[in-house]
This record gives sequence, C-alpha cells and structure tokens, in this order.
Amino acid sequence: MKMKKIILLIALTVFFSSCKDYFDNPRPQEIQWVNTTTFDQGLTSAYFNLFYKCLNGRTTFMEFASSGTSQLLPETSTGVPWNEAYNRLFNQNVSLNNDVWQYAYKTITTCNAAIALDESANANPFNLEMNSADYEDNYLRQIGEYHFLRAYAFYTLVRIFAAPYVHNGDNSQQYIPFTTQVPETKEDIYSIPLGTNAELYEQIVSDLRRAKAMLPEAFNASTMLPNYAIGRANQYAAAALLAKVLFVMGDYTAAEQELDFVIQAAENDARYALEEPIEAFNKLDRNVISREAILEFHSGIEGNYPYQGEYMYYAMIFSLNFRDATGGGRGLGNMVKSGWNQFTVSYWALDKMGWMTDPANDDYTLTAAAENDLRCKQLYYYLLGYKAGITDSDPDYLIYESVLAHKAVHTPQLYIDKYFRGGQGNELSRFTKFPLIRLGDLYLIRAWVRWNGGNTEGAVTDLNKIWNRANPTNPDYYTASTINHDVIFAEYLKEMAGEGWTLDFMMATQMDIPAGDRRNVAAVQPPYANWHWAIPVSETDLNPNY
Amino acid sequence: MYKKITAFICRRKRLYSLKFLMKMNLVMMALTVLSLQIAIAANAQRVTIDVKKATVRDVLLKISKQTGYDFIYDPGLIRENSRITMNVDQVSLEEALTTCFGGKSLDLMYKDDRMVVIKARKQLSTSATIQQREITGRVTNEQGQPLSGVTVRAKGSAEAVVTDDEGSYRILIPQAINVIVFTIVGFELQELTIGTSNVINTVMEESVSDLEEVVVVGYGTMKRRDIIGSVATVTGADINKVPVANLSQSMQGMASGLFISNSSGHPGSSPDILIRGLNSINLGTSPLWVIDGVPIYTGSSQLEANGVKPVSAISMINPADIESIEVLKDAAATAVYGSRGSGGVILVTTKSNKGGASGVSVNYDGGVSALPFKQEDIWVDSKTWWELHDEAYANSGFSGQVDPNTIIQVQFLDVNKPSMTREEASAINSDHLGALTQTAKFNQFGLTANKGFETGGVLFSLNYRNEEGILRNNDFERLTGRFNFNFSPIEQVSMGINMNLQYLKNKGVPQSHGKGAAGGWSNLITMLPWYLIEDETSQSGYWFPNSGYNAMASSDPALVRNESDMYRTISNAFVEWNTPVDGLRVRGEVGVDLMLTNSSSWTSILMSTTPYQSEAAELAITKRTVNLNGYATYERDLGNHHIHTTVGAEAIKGHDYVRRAEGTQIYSNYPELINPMNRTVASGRSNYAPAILGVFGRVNYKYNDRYILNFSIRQDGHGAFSEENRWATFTAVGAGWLLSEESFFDSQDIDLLKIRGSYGQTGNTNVNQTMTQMNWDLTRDQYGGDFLPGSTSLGPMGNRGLRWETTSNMDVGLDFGLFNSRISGSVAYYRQRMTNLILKGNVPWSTGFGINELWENVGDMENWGWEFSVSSVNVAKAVRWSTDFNISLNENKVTGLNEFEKGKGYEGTQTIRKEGERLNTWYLSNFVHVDPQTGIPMIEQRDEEKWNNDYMTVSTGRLIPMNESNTNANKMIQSGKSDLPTFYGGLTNTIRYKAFDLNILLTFAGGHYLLNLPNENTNGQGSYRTNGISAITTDLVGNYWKNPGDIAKYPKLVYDDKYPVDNDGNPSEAGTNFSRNINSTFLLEKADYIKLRNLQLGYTFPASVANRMKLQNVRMYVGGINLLTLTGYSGYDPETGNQLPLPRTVNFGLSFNL
Repeated sequence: MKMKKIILLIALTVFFSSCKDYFDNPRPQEIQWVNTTTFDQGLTSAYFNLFYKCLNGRTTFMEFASSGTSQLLPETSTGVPWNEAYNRLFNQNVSLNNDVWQYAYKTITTCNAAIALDESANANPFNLEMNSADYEDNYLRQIGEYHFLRAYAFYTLVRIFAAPYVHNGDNSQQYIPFTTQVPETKEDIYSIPLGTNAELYEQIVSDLRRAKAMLPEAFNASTMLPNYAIGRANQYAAAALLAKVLFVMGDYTAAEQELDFVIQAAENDARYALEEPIEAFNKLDRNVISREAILEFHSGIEGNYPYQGEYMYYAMIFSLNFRDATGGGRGLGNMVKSGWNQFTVSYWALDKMGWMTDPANDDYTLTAAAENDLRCKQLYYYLLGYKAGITDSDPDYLIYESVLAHKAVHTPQLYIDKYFRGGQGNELSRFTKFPLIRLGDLYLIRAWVRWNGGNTEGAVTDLNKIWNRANPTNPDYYTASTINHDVIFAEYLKEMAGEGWTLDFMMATQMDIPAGDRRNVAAVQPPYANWHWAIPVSETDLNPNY
Repeated sequence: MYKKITAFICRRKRLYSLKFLMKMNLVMMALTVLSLQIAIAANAQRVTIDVKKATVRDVLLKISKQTGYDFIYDPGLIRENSRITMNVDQVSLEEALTTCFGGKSLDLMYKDDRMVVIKARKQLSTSATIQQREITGRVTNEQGQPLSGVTVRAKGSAEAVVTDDEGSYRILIPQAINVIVFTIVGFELQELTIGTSNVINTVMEESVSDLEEVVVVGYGTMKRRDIIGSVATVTGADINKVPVANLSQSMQGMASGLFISNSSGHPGSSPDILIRGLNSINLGTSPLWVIDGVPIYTGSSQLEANGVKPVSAISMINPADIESIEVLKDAAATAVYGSRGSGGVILVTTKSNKGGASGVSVNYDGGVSALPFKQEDIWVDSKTWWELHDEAYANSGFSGQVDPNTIIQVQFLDVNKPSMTREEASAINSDHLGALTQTAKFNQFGLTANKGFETGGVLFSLNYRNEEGILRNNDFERLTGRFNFNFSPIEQVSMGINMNLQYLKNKGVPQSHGKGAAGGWSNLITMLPWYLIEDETSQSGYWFPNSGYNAMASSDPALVRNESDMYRTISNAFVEWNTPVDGLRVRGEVGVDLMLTNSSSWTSILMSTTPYQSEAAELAITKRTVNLNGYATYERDLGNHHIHTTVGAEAIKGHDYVRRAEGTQIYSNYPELINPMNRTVASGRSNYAPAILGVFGRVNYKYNDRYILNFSIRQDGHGAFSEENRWATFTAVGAGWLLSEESFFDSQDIDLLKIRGSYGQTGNTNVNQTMTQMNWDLTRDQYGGDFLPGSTSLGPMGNRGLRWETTSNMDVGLDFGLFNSRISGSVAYYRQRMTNLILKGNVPWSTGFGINELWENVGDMENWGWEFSVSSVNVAKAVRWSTDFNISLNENKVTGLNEFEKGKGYEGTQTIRKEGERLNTWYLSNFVHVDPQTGIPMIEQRDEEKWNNDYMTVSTGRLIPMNESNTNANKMIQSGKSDLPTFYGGLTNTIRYKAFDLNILLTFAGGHYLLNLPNENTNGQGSYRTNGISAITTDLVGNYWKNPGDIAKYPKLVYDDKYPVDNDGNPSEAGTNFSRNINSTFLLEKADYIKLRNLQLGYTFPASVANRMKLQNVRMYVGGINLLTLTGYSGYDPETGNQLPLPRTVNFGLSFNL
C-alpha cells in the first residue's frame, strides 16, 4: 500500500518536472527570408513602399510646385497642400510629406534588415553555392538592390527634409534620423541619432557604389527570378542615380564618370537610346520598356491582385490628363482633363524656354520653337482660357480649358501632359509609364558638367543630342559659341519639367532658384540653407531628438 | 499497531489527536488506553483559567500548557469549537476539565504521566463486537422540505451517514450512544437524545451565522472566520433564483466589489464583469474564472458577421450545477494566482455527491419576455414625422413639402430604389419596433441524480434550455450534461472526476447600422415610419429587404442566417492522498477546457448589400486550455499556534485553431458556402495561446485563535515574455485580529469583530508573443515582373524588455457579527496601484516598421474605494425575513502615461486618457443652451492657449455655435465623468412564511454617464437633423425652439443640418454643418439606476400533499426579472445604453424530488 502511494507521488512529481521546453512555441514563426525567392519578397516590399507609397507623385508635385517652373491656377483648391508648396512655406507641416517620411523609412528599415542579414552571415545567409547562378544572379543582385533602395530612400528624405548639400562647405547640419541598423529594443530606437548631411550623403554614395558593383547589367530570364524583369534597378540605374547625387554634391568629376558609364552603355552597347519624347511614357504593354528609361516605376497592370493598379496618383495634380484617359489621352473621346489639376508650366519658365511669345505682356501665343519641338507637341498641351458649357465631345474641348474647377483660368496655359498617356484606363489598369531616371536627363546633366569643366565641344554634342531628338528637322542647333548655362537650363526645363528633377539641376549648378510667377516669393540663392521642409509632427512628437 | 500508535502519540507534544483518532477504530484505541490507565486521584496539578468565549479546544490547550498533560479525545465526544466563558482559579485538573466540558460526565484516564484520555463516562466495550441499534428518520427544513446532504452522526462515535434527497437516513450506532448529531452548512447544529424510539425525525433551523462556514479559496478551503482576504460568496441557491441564460448575469448585485453590467438584452450575451473596477488600460481586466480548479475561457469565439451579437462562453455553464461561487478580490486572496490575479478571481465550485445521498431532483423554469416599451413610446408616427419635416423645410427657406423620393434617392441602394408619392408616404405608419421584436418564451428543464455508496458517490445532471430572443429569430438553445464521480479506491486516497459536456446553439441577428447594411437593432433609428415592411408583390415578400431599413427582413432566416454551434467540455480529475504524516495531504489535478465553435453566416441574393450576390462565411475555432496542478497542504497545531501551509505547482497551456472561409455567389440547395463562384477568404491558423508555469505557496498562521497572519507567494513564468523577463514573483502578506476574542472585549452583543488587512501584488497575463517578438508578415503588395505571392512586412517591433503589469493591492477591512450573528457583514477599504501598465505606445516613424507601435511598461493607475456588505435576519419567528445588502464605491485615476501622453493625454474620439483623470473620461464639447434668440445650439469655446500650454480645458467664456467644426475643436475634459459607475450594489430581501417564500432583488449602479444615441440620430444634433434619414423621438415634439425668446430643449428645426452662421456665430449665407455633434455633452446623460432585478414568490407543498404525489420537496414559483427600472436616463436602458435593452421577463417554475 505504501509503495502505491509513493508511486503516486512520484508520478505527480514526474508529471510536473517533465516540462522541458515548456515555453517553446510549438509553431514558432518561420524566418521569412529563407531563399532568394522569399528574399525577393523583401525587395517587393521595399520597392512598393518607396516608389508607390512614398513617391506616388508626391515628391514630383512638391518639386514642380515649389521650383518656380510651375504656375498655380487661380481659384483652385484640392486636398493637397498647394499653398505651402507653391509659396515655399517651409515651416509648415505638409501632409504629403508624412507619407514620404514614413514609407521612405520603412524602405530603409527593410533594406537595413536585409543588409544586416547579409553581413551577419558572411554574405551567404541561405547557404547557396557561391558560384551558382542563384547566388550570383539573384542573391548578389538582391543585396545590390537593397543598397540601391536604401540610397534612393535616404536621398528622397534629404531632398525633402534636409538643407541642400553645401558644395565644398560645411555639411554638419543634422536634420533626419540616420541608422543602418535595425533596432531591436526601445533603447535602440531612442539611440538612433540624427545624421549629418555629410554622413547621409556619404552613405548614399557608398550604397550606390556598392549597388553599382553588385547589380547586373540587365535582366537575364534564364537565371534570374522573373520578378526582376521590370521596374527594378540594374547597375546603370545605380550609376545614373549616383551621378545625379554626385552632381548635386558638386562633385562634377565623379558625376561625369558615372554619366559616362551609363551613356557609353547607351551609345556603344545600344542598351539605351533616345527615342521620340513620348516613347518613355506611352507604352501599352507593361513588358515593353522604353529604351530611354534607365529606371521606371512599374505600375502593375495585369492579374487579379488588389494592388496591381499602382500609379503616380499625384500626377493628376499637375498634369492635363486624368487617370482614366484613354488612347494616349489625345483627341476627343480619349482626353479626360483632370479636374484636380492645379498647376501648369509657369510663364516665367515658358519665357526661359522660349516657348511663349511674351506672357509678361499678355502675349500667350506659342512660339514657332515650341510649335516645332516634339517635346512641346508630345509631352505638353496648350489650352486657351476657360470656356463654359463645353462637353468632352465638343471639338472645343481640345482647345479651351473647360473644367469647371478651372473657371477662373482666363489666360492660355501650357499643361504638363506626360502622364496617363498609355492606353485604356480603368480602376485596375492605368496604362502609363513613369520613368524615374531617363537618358535625356543624363545627357543634359553631362552637357552642363562638360560645359562647366571646359569641355565645350562635348557639352554641345550632348545638348544637341537632346535638341535633335526634339527637333529632327533642325538639327545641331547649339554651337560652342551659343552654349552656356542658360541654354542648358532652358533645355533642361523643356525636357524635364514636371518630372521632379529641375530643383536638383538648379542646386547642382548653384543657380538661383527662381521665384517664377509668384509675386510674394523671392528667388533663393545658394547655398539654399532654408530650403528644407518641416519634419512631420508625427515624428517630432515622438522623437526626442527634435 | 500498538507501537505505531504509541510512537505517533509520543511525537506529538501538546497536540490533541483529533482527526487521527476520529479515523481510528475506537475499540482499538480503548484497548490501548485502558492498558495504560492510572488513577486520576494521584494528580495534584492546579489550574487557573480566565477566558471569555474561547473555544473548548483553546481552553484545553491552556490547561495542557499549565499542567504539562496532553489530552486525547474523540472529536465526536467534545465540541471542540464550541465557545465557553470560564473563570477558575487554582482548581484541580479534573475540576477544570469538568468546567470546560460544561459539567458533562466524562472519564479521564491517565497514561505515562503526561497524557490524559478523555472519554465518555460509560465504559467502552472491550469487545470487538459492539451491540448496535438501527436508527432511521427524516430531516426537513422549517418549510417541511426534505434536506439532503445532512451529516448524521452518533455522538461519541465515528459512525456517520448523509441524508438522501428525501432527507431520509439510516444509521447503525452503538447501543451505548444515545445522542445523534445533525450537521449541514447553513443550518444550526442539532443534537437529539435517542429515547426508546428507533425513528428520529427532525427539523433543522437555518443558521444565522456563517462564520464556521468553509469557504473555497485558491488551492484549498478555509473557515470564513479565519480568512483575512476579501472574499465574497454567492451560493448556487441564490444564483438559481434568477433563471437567466448566463450564469454571470445571475450574480449581478449579489457580491460587493463585483460589478456586473449587462451589455445587451440578447439571450446569453456577455456582461461586463469587473472586480474593483478597471485595473488595466490596454490589457483585459476581466476576472479569472476557475471552475473546480480549471481556468476557463470566458470570451466569445463566434462569427460576428454584420454585427451579430455573440453569446458568452460562460452562458454554456448550467447554473443549476453551481454549489457556490467565491469572488476573490484583494491580494491576500488572489496572490496565490499570481500572474492571473490582477482582475480578481471567481472560483466556481460545482455540486458533487458528498456521500450517502441518493435521489433525483427535477426542475422546470419557463417564462415570457418582452421589451419594456413600444414603438409609439419612443418614435413619432408618420404624420408627425412629415409635419416636423415640412416645418424644418420651410425654416431652411425651401418651398413646398418634402418629397419622399428625395430621401429615398439618398438612402436606398442605387440599383434598388422604391418610389412613392407624398400622399402614399403619409398614409403609411409602420411599426418597425414591433416587426423587429416579439414576446419571447423560454423553457428550462433540469434533472440532477445522486447516488452515494460506501466510499464515494456519483452525481449526474442534465439541463436543457430553449430561449427565444426578443429580436425575432435570435434564439438560444443549450444542452448540458454533467457527471461527477468521487471514490476512495484505497485507504487514505480519494479520486474523482468531474465532466461537463455542453452544447449551445445560437442564432444571431445582424446589428449593422447604416444604408445598405443588414438591418437589425442598430438600424432601428433609420427605419422611418413611412417605410413599408411587407410587399406581397416582391419575390421575398418584403419591401426592399436589402435596404437595411426592413426590420423583419433582416431577421428572417429565409434571407439571413447567422448560426453558431458550440461544443464544450470542462472536465477535471483529481487524486488526493491523506498521507501518514498527520495533517499532510497531497493533491494532484488535471483539467481541460475544450471548446469547439462552428459559426456560419449566409445572406440571400435578395438581401445582400452587394446587389444580386449571395454571401456566406464559415468560422471554426477550436480552443483548448489544459491545466495541471499539484499541491500539498499541511495543517498542524503547536500549542497555541496553528499553521496551515500550502505548497504547489501549476502548468497552464492554451491553444487556438482557427479556420475561416468566405465567399460570394453561392447557389445550391445548401447555400452555406458550397461552391462559391468567388472565394474571398480561405484561411487557417493556429494561435499559440499563453503558456504559464507557476509555483506557489501559502502560509496561514494563527496564534491563540485570535491573531492571524497570512503570507502567500507565487512565481510565474509566461511564454509571451522574453527569457530574461519571463519569471516574476508575486507576494502578499495579510494580518487579522479577532478583537472580539480578547478578554478585555466585554460585549454580549458582539459575536465577532475582526480587523484585517493585507498588501500584495498580482499580475496580468493578457499578453501575447506579438508584444515581445519582432513581427514578420506577408502583405499582398506587389511590385516587379511576374508577381510574387506577397511582400515582406516588418514590424511592429516587439519589446523584448516588456515586463509584467503589476497590481499592488492594499486592503483594510472589518468583519463583524452582532446579536448572535443575526447581523453580520464587513466593511473594507481598498487601494490598488497598477504599475508598469503595458501600454501600446507609438515610436517614431523613422524606426521604419510597418506599424510604429511598441508595447511598453509605462503607465500607472490607481483604483480605490469602499465596500460594505451586511446580512441580517430581521425576523426569525413564524415569519423569517432576512436582508442582504451590499454597496461598492470605486474611484479611478490614471497617474502615469508614456512620455508622449503626459501632456494632453491620448485624445480619443469621445474619451480621453490623461494623467489625473478617470480612465475613459468623456471628452466632449460643453453644450450650454439653445440660443433663445436664434434657436441655434451653443457650446463653450475652449481656451486654446491654456490647452496647448497647460493642458487644461477651460472655457474662454465665449459661446460659439455647436457645429461640427467647433464641436470637434473645442472638446473639454469632462472630469469625473465616465461610463463606469462609481457605485453599485444590490439589496436582497428574503421572506418566508410557512410554505411561502418571497425573494426580492434590487440592483443599482450610478455615478456614470452615457451618450443617448437615439437622440443623436434624431433630435440630439446641434441642428435638428430633419433631412430625412432618421426616425424622430417623441421627446422632440413640443420641446424645440420656434420663436425668439423661447427657452427650448432642442434647437430650431432646419433641413440639411445647416444653420446660417459661421464658426464664430456670424451670419453666413452658406452656413456651416451641424450634422455630427455626437461629440458634445448635448447627448451625455447621467445613467444612475435602480432595477427590480428579480422578484420571486414561491410555495412549497406540504409534505403530506407531496407524499400523496409520491414526490418530495415540491415547490413552485412565479416571478419576474427586470420588471421595473428607476432612472433619469432617457435612452433605451441605463445598463445596456444604446444596445438592445434588457427585456422584462415573467417566469414561473416547478421543482421536486423523486
């Protein structure tokens, strides 16, 4: 009897002492990145967050509205912070910038996590054969893309929230948080410092150089994951962005080297080319990529997935066509004017471009130069002042401003018309292309760098490449005697207005940022120390560094 | 055997072998003792004793201390807990003992010069075959009802039996014994002398004192008198007097400190249950429920499509199975539950066979319920509705009459709009409330069967309840079976199993609100009196069933079905070993709460809000909690010292398995999700529910039967925390002083005066891994070439440093018993300080996670209050009238928040969380009046400078229009006002007269404020919202502004929510929008209430009548639940707010024993 009781007691004891690994989760969370396919899901997230959720046309809108190259249409008001942007109210919290901030940092954290994984596992966390195609064409490429995206995200942030880089000067100012690590504790979070501009630009350049070194020249369908086929960065995209960053930093020599790298690939290897201006914007098939686009945002258009219809939403705030334009947005039945549009090309810019006769004295007719320029014909649209009672089937619809919200527009306007120029548009498929970096931009930058460096002949050559593409019947317009900063800038405006880079050109070349058509805003001179937008309140409220 | 006994006795010093000898064969004991006896006359010890109301046991201890003698006696011989007053000075030992025993004739036998065996005067037989006689009889209560479970014992003997369900007993007792003792909890002990008759019948009198009552505490039991924690008890008998579906609803108003508020009038719905207020901000605050040692799930796992109200898992429990419920409130009581104790603990003990009882009891309850109001009591009729609209239309500068089609155009689905003229609309007056609700019935049948045997017993119960909701087709059906089996397979070892099998079926009705929604209660306010209900020409028979405005259609199972089937077992088994070490018991328990819920939702193609598309969803959840515990208790007396210790360990592990599928466009004979054309959701997942491991201990120490100390400790580990923070220790200390036992305390009227206090910590385990670990997920975002199936989502970042949320609880109380305990009760003051509250804070977006949240231990909060309870027997004669009253006061203040909420706090839509304020303090603009000159409602303007700089909401003294913009921008902290009552309680009166019994239960709560939303949607808006989207409450008529100078409750009637003023009150042709002013105090009302919660009149048939029916204990009753509510709140119900009110129920029942 006693033995039975002892056995009973022992049984109970064993019962409770057999709790080894008691707290272990029987179904622990699987580490998501286990091979190059799942590693690509991290890239999908980073691209999606940066290009769609962060950029989304917001930075392009802010840049165009504030740069002096745009005109605010009278008595228009949509939900965007048009007043802050147009009148350069930098101390105001701009709601659009909240998303820019939030999603750029999401991109950075994802990239930091991936790069940290790479570094912690001796560059081979998935135990791949080091000389295998999967390792070389996928894994290394992916790490290159993570570096590229981190650089692009940081560059987006400093362009908006930090004072411009001071050429050969003091860049010790601190504006935004800077880390390349993933915080694991609350203490980690609150120990993230603000980075100096010098640190940030150094990191951007470093990441882009790393990306350039690791990224392939092009997509290889036989060895690479199919997701890489479109809308992703290759080594030329990294070099091109690096060139643009170095250009802004005033390191023209280094910038020219990177520009040479890309342009040589275009010219010698025919990888890229200058096609007609519209070709970078009007593709109907997502798989058809303009030869001019070094990097483009891929607005998914197929399949049944809910997020396939991404597009640059805010383009509707500063361009002619609405997102559901059809047939390329030209002609009756196809053109759908954006009722949300608040901005056109400024008269100041048109004067600089030589495309409007004398807007300062109320002569708003387009010049012959404009009429003959393919860019003006294909990527801009001229409308006379508002005329009431016009329907979209009326021929006058193509001639007059007719959107009710624009009823106070009494003078002719030149509209940006680069977006929603694809084919059929609907909720699920908005056929258009959004080049983020294109060859024409690079030619113009190199033209200025060459001119600035005394290589006038090279500069003329580059400038005429752009001119000739737009004016094929009147080639080689520029000569060594006519080239200067102003003509290069004028060509830059014609080529790049509404694409988000004109401020970069101005700052890189240290020219004054014009007031444009504004009356209460002055031109801004280098080093543009106050040209940075307020940090979102959602950050300053929570970050003790502010 | 001799050696064993001798050795055993010798180990003891002055400890009396009570239990041991009780369990020994008396004959053997006598033989042993007799061989050792010597003459008492030789003893010359002198004794001095001066005690008042001391127990016999304590007096013996004192004598023992003075004389050096130990005493051995049979507990059946001496009532050791009976109290005596004794004053002797230098008397002999036998004189002292004789005085102590009240002059009772006893023999004293000495042995070994240090032991005295006390026994009855009559010599025990030395023969092993004692002469016995059989005594039979029947035990009844004062109403003549048989009492089962009464212990019948031959005094001076170990022989004992228990009465069966008929109150009958049969016992063999030694011929030498002539006294029988009857005992049962709740009744006075009775001793009857046996005469010549072998039939002894008796009537037990109800006890007026429960001090000797044994109360279940965590991992053991204690006498109420010795408890120094705050523990309230609700008996199963009290619960079953309120025959509602949910056990917890039955407990309302019955225990101090326990706040239960019904959230809805649906059968089985989940009430809010709080013990001593809210004690967490983000984590759950519901108490831990433990049934027979098994912690159970108390939430709901049903599909809640379209706002269908779920039923509570607690409603699966059969209230008739409950023996008693203990509510543990302070740390002294709950610390032994450690990490799970911060919300308090509710211990449920179910009935079991106590051995000896056999029989079958049957009960039936039935009743009908209805809403306490009708359509016309709340809403204006169609004629008035149109008149008010026309007036508003004219006031807004429109000419002519309001066209119903302009309203229809806005309100109905684009593809499905009716059309009617004004004349047609004016002629319709629909009773939507009548169409939605019904007079509902319920039936409940119960059966309990007992069978006792020599070493144990079996109890089986069955219960079936069928209840209609007052919303049509909102039905509730429950079937429970329970099997309890206890036995002793070997000596000193007992085992038992308790198995509950439960099934519940619930039919839900959609509650969604708004255009195109599924209809239901919340849509009632949008069902205009001129909307039709039926349409014979339509395919469904209803007028536009998918509009959301057709009450009958939205609950017709031919068009909408929401059903849940729940299967559950709460089962446990135990093994207990009464070890050879006296006072040491070891017990092991294993329990499981396994619940399977299958829910389905289906919406007809004729009903779907997406036109012409049927929809269906399925949800299956398997929930499992396994509990293992083992503990040892050791109880020992050391002279004046009494020690009771408990040491144990416990392991709890939960697991959830969830499967869900949804689809649209289903066409088949069985439409619930067979072959949908479009499958919208298909998921299955397994949640890792918390794993808890704990070791615990408790020591209760009592000195001289009046000074009590208590210490408990528990160390818990929780799987959700990181390894470095996984374990935490929770301790509590308590002390009590039985002041009334002191010799200087000289009052014949005060039986008990106990001062008690405790301090300790408990924790909150409502945490999960997502709070402490990095969260990886996949989203459906896509980018690039051929789409990958998903993209990485990183975060929110878990906080590995997260620690336990801790509640420190200080409790000071006074328990009292007066006038032979005819009045008893307690007063307690408590103060809880919740520290390291786990708050979901935001981290800078630059951290870069998908969600910028982080759980942190950053908040502090305090709860404090008073509790008072008193029970009295007011009359104890032919009429017996007893009263139980309790009231609890609770205050709450947030004392610490994270660094980002320290200033203005966390501003919710209508409430604010701010340091120095109550939790859930209302945050609404201050409505002042309807401007007598303009008829526009006005609010106070907030001083923005004060708010931004000093974080204080004060008025500038200026009044501004109560439009939407101003209302949102000028919210004021309504200090001290929240939706949680500051006082609550209950008053029970029970009156018995002969065969009649009357039970009256009043519950009350107050100090809280609620928004009256029906008014918001009709006439509570800043502007009178007569733009045709809502029904209108009758209160508006005659109470709105018409002419300058009017002092009106409601503003001027206008159409389209606009008054011609700007935000500053200046004239504005365009006007401003007054449409959404739910954020002002205009709608805020005090919600104090007193409810006649239960009224029951019972009649017990005389035994003679019952016997003729071959039945026993036949009782029938009639009664009512929620028959009356006294309140100043003008909404539906001050308890359920804007949800379905509690119905009035008239019920009746019958119970008897076979």
